[in-house]
Amino acid sequence: MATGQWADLPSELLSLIAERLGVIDLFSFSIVCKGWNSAASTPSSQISAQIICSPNRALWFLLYGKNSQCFLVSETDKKYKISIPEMNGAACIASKEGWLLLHRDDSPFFFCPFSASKIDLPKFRKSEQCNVVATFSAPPTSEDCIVAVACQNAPGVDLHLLSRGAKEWTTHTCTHLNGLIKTITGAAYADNTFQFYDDKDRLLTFTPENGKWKNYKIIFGSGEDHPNTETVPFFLWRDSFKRCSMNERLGLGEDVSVSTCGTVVPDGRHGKILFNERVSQQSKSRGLRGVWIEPRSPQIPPEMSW
Amino acid sequence: MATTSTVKLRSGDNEVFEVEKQVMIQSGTIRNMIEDDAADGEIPLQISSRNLAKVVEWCKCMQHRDRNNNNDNKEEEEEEEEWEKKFDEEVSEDKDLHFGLLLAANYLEIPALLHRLCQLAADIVKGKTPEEIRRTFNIKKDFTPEEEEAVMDEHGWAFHD
Repeated sequence: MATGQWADLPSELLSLIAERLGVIDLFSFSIVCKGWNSAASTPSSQISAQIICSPNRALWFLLYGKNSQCFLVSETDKKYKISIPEMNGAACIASKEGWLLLHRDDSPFFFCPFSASKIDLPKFRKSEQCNVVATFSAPPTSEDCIVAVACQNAPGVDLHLLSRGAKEWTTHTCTHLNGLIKTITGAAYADNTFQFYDDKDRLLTFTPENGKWKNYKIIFGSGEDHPNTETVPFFLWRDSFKRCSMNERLGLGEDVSVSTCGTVVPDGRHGKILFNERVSQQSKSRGLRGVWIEPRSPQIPPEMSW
Repeated sequence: MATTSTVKLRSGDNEVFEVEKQVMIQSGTIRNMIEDDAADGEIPLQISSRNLAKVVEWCKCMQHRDRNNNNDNKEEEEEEEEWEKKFDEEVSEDKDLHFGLLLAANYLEIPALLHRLCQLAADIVKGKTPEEIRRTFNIKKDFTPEEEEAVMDEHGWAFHD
């Protein structure tokens, strides 16, 4: 068989190869030729297979500030300078499977910095001065996606929900927490339920199906030691920014304040949650933001909108 | 009714391979033919004898491995690993063979082989610049300058310090 045919490999086979690449290798792949380019940006029907067999499970960190200049740091400490107009003036409130949920003023949107895919969402009314923590049940390209934005204020929590295709957010309020729930710093979705973890040992859950709130105290130990308890389906990772010495790895000074948005990573039978963090210094020389992100390049089917 | 325990595969260049059905049912295409009793004569395939021989060899090795999965024969296990390693090396170094096997595995519907070959291709791509990939796979850049500028605009940040 003559050479020169790799350019003409059927696109479904090229996609199978592309799926096995990390984001940077995927970029190289997509610049090779036209055929490879379109295969790299075809939404794969095998996304779930990719999630299971992806070797690239390590997390990257995206650092952004007040303009569009951002830094990406790979798991092997490679640094990339990247200009992302979408990040300009936006705040990230959730990160999962390569997708970021951002909002600028009252306008929320999904965005992936690797594929530059963007999906605008309907506006929502956010109360001033509240702690915003969010997550989503499935990637925004999925028909099952529900976005959950928790706005925590002094008396309670307003939970704004948006199902795929919906034009308006619905709001569910939880009051009477009596200060039980401290500052919420982590959110996840499991067993049809949204989970919100505070920075101490409390968990607040909401199940959209029945509209029920529950709150739990988290204790550590095995189920045998504590009968009649439920098991949290995630490993809880706090202080990742500090533990991973991100200040040093990003080349930031000691006096820089950073607030980070965590993420949820599927990890075998138990996923893990990286919590939001606030690394603040008194001098407050620069306020930066960052987000942990899975290095994936999700594509949007043509003409898809929320 | 199927009467024999083997199938005959005829390559595109008219070489006939007689292989145990048990080996070839790893191929969805051939399994369907066997189930439909359409595999008693020779099955003509648009696959060269060189590529078909490799596919058959691979299927034999995998079937052997699956059959021996439960016994603890260290020596055989090592032999199989050695064979797979050699297969990977041979395919990775021979782009024509690699390409031909990809098409064959796809046509014959042998998922395990297809995935192995895609993984090998991905491993070759990893860590290479676009130009190095083109050279390795003998691919011509077919973008117009405008198109190239557009793709570099999108992804160029990944290649600058």
